[in-house]
Amino acid sequence: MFLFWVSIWIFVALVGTFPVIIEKAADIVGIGRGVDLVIYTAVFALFYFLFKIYVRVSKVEKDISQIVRKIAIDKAEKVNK
Amino acid sequence: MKTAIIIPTLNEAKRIEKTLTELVSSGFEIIVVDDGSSDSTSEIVKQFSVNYVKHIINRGQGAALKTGTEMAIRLGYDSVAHFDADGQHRIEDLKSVIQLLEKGEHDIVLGSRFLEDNTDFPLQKRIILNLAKIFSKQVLQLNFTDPQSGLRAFNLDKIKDLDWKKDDFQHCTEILTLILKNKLNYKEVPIIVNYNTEDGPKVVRPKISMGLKLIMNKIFE
Repeated sequence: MFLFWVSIWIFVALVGTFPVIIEKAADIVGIGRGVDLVIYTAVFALFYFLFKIYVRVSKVEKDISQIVRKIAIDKAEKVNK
Repeated sequence: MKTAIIIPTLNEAKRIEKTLTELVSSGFEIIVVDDGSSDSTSEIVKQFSVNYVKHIINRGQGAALKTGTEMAIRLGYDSVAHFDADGQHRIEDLKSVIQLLEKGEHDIVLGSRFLEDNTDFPLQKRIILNLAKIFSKQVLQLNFTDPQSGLRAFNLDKIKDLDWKKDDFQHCTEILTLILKNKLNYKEVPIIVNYNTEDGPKVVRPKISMGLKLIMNKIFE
């Protein structure tokens, strides 16, 4: 993950120094300006990561309930004996 | 047919004592599922000879009912009934729901406040429940007379068809959805709910977010 963030910073530094990079990329894809391409990509990435987080949180909530249920029943059964 | 009464509860120490007194003296076998109460609920419940199961943290009424159901299965019960801890449900209605289930003609029996509509609702509650009913029928396509009712009884042999997953308030509509999806044989019976309990009516605030959550589930699940 560290490598991921380093790549992001390198990308930002490169684009800041040579804006022509994103202008060329935008032309290739067919989008107006370089900045637009960056923003569209960022929005897409955000939605993607949010979705991953949502799925993860849902699983965690389910796991928590299962754990809490097991603890509750185990304790109750112990008391019954 | 052995029936366990599952009572989910959260911080109802004052009200649950009366409820349990009446139920125990009527001869019911009870499983209280404490969904993480921080009041004196556990001390009070332990005075009665009932099964007491406690969630160490709050998980929601749907989760509590599921825990109660699993406990009932482990204890060897044939069927379960869901009953409120706060004294709003009447014992007579519990008895009629269970009696109908025992006849063996239905998989699940649902108590409905609107079948004969004898309940004295506070105005706000009546409006909201009717809106919920319309919403349930038109948007969720669940045509039941009382979609939010918490008084129900069902046979545990059908539990695989009633395996609700929602931990929160959405378990109500999920159970109804499962009934229709798995073509379970259900029957509604009229019940009356008591909203004028001793310490005044409970305040439960329905939120728009609840409706939105239900719509999201309808579309995407």
